Amino acid sequence: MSERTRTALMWILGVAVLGAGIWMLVKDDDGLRVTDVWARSSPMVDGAAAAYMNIQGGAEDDALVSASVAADVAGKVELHETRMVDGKHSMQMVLGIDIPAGGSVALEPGGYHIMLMGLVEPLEPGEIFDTDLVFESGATITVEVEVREG
Amino acid sequence: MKRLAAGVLTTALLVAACASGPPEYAGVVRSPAPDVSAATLPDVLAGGAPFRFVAPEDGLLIVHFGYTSCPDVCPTTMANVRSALELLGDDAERVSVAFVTVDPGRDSDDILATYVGYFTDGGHGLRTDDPTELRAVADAFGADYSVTGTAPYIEVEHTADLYAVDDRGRIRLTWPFGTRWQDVASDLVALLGEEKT
Ligand SMILES: [Cu+2]
Repeated sequence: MSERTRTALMWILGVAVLGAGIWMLVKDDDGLRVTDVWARSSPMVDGAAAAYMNIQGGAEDDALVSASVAADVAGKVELHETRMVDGKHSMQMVLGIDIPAGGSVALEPGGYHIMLMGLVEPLEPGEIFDTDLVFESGATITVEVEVREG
Repeated sequence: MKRLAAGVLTTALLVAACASGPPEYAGVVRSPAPDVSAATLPDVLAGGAPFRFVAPEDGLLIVHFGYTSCPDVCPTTMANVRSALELLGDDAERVSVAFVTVDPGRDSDDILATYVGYFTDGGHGLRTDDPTELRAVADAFGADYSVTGTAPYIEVEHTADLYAVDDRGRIRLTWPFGTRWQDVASDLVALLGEEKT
């Protein structure tokens, strides 16, 4: 093997390793996509608010397992589901929201929401705050929540 | 003669309208229409004066049972009411809105007044400390609720329907939670048209 061939092989190998590294990084995110993230403005100072969004699944089945916001936004964050039992609506905390591979799950009024409790200040329309989403796969995504007139 | 012809024409049009069958609503028509005219509750936006569940003359009263710390269902419903009324334009003046709290333990007069004022102009915030009185009103509407647990872990369950009451205190329509506000608006337009004739 000539010096030249060896160098070329090294390059090819190097690029392949680098490529795999980049691919791993992307795969780590699992192709998850989060869009249309919003929360309804709230008249209450010490009240609660709900954040909604659309989550598109990646290559593998996954689940949203927790969410968090800065302490100056809300004291506590939980995943909730509004359910109707015997004609009555109520909210239940859920431990995870399944995001099937290639599927799409809407967190929307009357269904799943990210529940913000102990709001430090009322949410004003036009405001934007960050929410960190943690998935079962280990992927984490930070999204900007836009407060809309509610 | 001309006048008579016009009269005949109007009648013909009315008959034609009727022949096309009853109007289709997005909301549910209950039969017989529940009568809620006997019910009253104190209105925190009127200094606690008793409020009767009857719409203004030729108008409609929209009623929802909920609680102010409800972050999902209640504000969604109230925001839908606001959007529907905005679409109605001037006719919105013929529609009043009442929010009944099923959680008077946490919803003080002040909190309820702020909340209703946030979503409506001239709305009614209805609240009583008397559980029997609240239950009787909910029963008249066919609404149900329960408040269980102790702070800060209070769970509230409630019927999330929206009701349209006429000026005789009859429930004309019941909209299940999730009805699009555009559909609520078109139902209101249809009902207000009927109220006028
Ligand atoms: Cu919730």
